[in-house]
Amino acid sequence: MERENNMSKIIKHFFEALTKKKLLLASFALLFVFPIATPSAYYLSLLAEMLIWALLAMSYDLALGYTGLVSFGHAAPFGIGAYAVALFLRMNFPFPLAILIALLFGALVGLVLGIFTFRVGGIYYALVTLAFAEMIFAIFNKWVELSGGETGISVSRPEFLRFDLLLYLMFAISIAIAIVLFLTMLHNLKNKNETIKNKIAYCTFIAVFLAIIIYSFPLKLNILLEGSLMEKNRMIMVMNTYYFIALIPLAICYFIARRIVDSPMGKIFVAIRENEERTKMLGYDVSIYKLTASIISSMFASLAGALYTPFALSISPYSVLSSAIMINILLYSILGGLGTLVGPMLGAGIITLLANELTSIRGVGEYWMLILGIFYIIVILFFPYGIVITWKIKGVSVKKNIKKLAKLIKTSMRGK
Amino acid sequence: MPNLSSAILETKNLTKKFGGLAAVNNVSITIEQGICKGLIGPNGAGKTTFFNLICGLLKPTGGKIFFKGEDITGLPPNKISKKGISRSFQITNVFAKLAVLENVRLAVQSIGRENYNFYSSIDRFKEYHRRALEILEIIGLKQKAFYPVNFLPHSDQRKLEIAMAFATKPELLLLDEPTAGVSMEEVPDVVNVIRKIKENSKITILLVEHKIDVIMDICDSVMVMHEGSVIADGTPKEIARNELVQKVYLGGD
Repeated sequence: MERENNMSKIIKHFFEALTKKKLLLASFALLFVFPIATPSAYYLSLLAEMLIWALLAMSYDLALGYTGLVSFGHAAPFGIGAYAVALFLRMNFPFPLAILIALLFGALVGLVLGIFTFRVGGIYYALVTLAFAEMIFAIFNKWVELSGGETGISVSRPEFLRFDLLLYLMFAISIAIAIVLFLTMLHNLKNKNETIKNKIAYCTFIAVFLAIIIYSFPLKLNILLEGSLMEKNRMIMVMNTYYFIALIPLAICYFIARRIVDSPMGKIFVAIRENEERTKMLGYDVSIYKLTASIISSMFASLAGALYTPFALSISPYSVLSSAIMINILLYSILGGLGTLVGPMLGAGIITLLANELTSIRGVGEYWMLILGIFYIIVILFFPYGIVITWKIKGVSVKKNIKKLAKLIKTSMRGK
Repeated sequence: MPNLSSAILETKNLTKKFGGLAAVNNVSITIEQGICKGLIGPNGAGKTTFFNLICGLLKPTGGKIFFKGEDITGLPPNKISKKGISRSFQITNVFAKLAVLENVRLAVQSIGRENYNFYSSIDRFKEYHRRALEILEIIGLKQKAFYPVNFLPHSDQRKLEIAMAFATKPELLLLDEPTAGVSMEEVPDVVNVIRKIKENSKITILLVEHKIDVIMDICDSVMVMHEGSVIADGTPKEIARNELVQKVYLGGD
């Protein structure tokens, strides 16, 4: 009996560690380490784009996944954020100030979207918010002086993206994180309490890590040492800085969002999602919580938009405000798993990566939408609750199967 | 004029009309503090509508409701709940996908001061956790604290329904058919939960029930509704002897 308990305890801890903290921390750390290993501007910019969509998808998860607000107007805060930054950068505002202004506008949009929840819910709310987003789109599309109409407006890269010292600093931080990560893994490897499985995982990690460092670190270091004096390095340097500009807000927003959903208020959000009437009967003023959730979610979305502008350099209502963005957000969220925060981020990453890589393959590229469509169907068939949630449920059943196996072995041994 | 100091709930000519039908018609009652009052009546007598009026889910078309002498007519449900009136539902209405403990904790949390706290982990509020477990202990669901509610048998869900209404520390608890759909063998279990709650606090309970034995068992006084009006009010024994009540229940003229 005791042995079985131990066994289940170990498995439980393993899954806890895997699903809760260690894996997540490790992946964020790896994202920080990534620039060390890549001497390619293309992959840096691709990953930066993935990070922006991940932030947008995560912001949507707070509204739909946690509070149950089926908003179809989430492109509005994103586009408004993007346009706010673009317009204020053109007025020569410093980039950080432009971001703050974008956040303010995002909160305003969130307020409007939140006020709609007072009157309508469910599918009706979805329609009202969709109409609102389309209205914003129409206004921007027609107001050519403001938005540039169909051609859009372009901005020059913010000054400090070209500031090399910043990049060197970030790079130093990356290296520091890499070393800490490496040492942690080594330490874990020595730890006697760790399971064999974990140890194998750590060994693999260390091996891959060393291989990357040996192979591409010298290349990257060389680029950095030559600096932006060399024209060919220009793009890599900028993209590298930009990558950090996208990664750091994402990491911060993720931890803020995680704190929110774990807080007393976050628990009320979930209660509203599960059963709004009962939440009201327990004495909670439901409308205030829905409003708050809507504002927070819209602010994160507008931050994503604000970060998108200096990345894309040219934005139009079609690229940041159209309903195509909304459909993408829904795909990211549903594919990744609603109500997990990590899920939509993962979904955004996978889809952006696939869409970009597929189009660049010769011969297949023309059919990228078809392939992506088939991919969606397959994923939905095999991961009906999204990748992260289904994986967690599967994890539980794996645990049960192992338990059963352990019991079987035990009884058969007793028989002998 | 009833003595206001001992009356916890008072309604004056309370009326709710759905079109031409008066579901609750000119009901004026007084409920004294600390008693367990039964509310019975045939189907369609207006008992649940009466509950919905008191807890704010419906707005009355006429009349007034006083809670501890204060006019609460037309307030939204969350405000009425904050004043100290809590209810359970006839059809189980809980957070089905969440764990049992989480359900009760949400109820406990609702009377706390930390509901706008969005930065510290819920695990830091040990008091909520402790109180929720205490309540689960009272209703005998402590062993199943971490089960999702929809895995529980129906009778346990009914107990949870009562527990959640009780967990907001109300002064007046409205129980809408707590034993609805519970099998005969399990009815005493649910009744015991109500009795324990009664013993554990000086709470006033208003109880709608179809099972007359339950009413006779735990209620101090009973009132009878028929076609939207209160037709009798008295101790269980008086009600059992009341001719009008017998006529209403048995049909006939």
